[in-house]
Amino acid sequence: MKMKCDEAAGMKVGMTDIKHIFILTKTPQSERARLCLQLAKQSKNAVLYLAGDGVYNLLAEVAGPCDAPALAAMPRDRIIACKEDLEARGVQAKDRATVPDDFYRQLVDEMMQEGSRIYTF
Amino acid sequence: MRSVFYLLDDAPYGSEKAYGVLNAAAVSLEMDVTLGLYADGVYLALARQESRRLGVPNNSDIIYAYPEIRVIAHEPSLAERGLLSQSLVERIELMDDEMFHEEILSSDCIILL
Repeated sequence: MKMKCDEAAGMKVGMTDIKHIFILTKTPQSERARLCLQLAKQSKNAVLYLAGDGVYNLLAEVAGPCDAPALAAMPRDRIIACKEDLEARGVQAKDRATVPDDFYRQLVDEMMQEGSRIYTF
Repeated sequence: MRSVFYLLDDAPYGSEKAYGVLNAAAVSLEMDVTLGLYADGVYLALARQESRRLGVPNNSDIIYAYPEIRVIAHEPSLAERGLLSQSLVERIELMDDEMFHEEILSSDCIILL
């Protein structure tokens, strides 16, 4: 009986335990960006990687379908922006995102971890 | 069993995206397959599609041919496009924002074209 309980405890992975890794490369005006940010908002354990045109989502003043409150609600260390893509577009992350020196290494390290799911938009 | 969520957010005709997603879903039946219709993808939910004059396959036939594929549609997207009063393919499930998002987050992977 004890084994059954242990098995059940070990196999049951709650939604809060799973890390949801979102990779967003679309501008705030796209439907996919909106869906991505809404999913990140609904997840209890989300990390958002912004690459390519996805870094434009850091521009809070951008009007459009972007779900800005969802982005603002996420802690800074849960939003990772690609330094090269920020520079290429003249976007400044300021205090809204973490900008690592090696964006893709960090991304791959996180993707390789057990118990994570990856969603690309 | 692994689960896969195919997201279609583009119109069903005029590009090969819908055809591609449907066929990818059809060959994934060893997994739990869900096709989610979102944004312009919800046009695929309309009943009585007639594609012969376009000279392309009828995409809704694939939905009928593979009942193993669970098909859900994002109800707010249907409402935004004024489609809620239209006849829809019977077996498509309508879901609100929260339910639709939960379906995605509970799948092992999501595939978009």
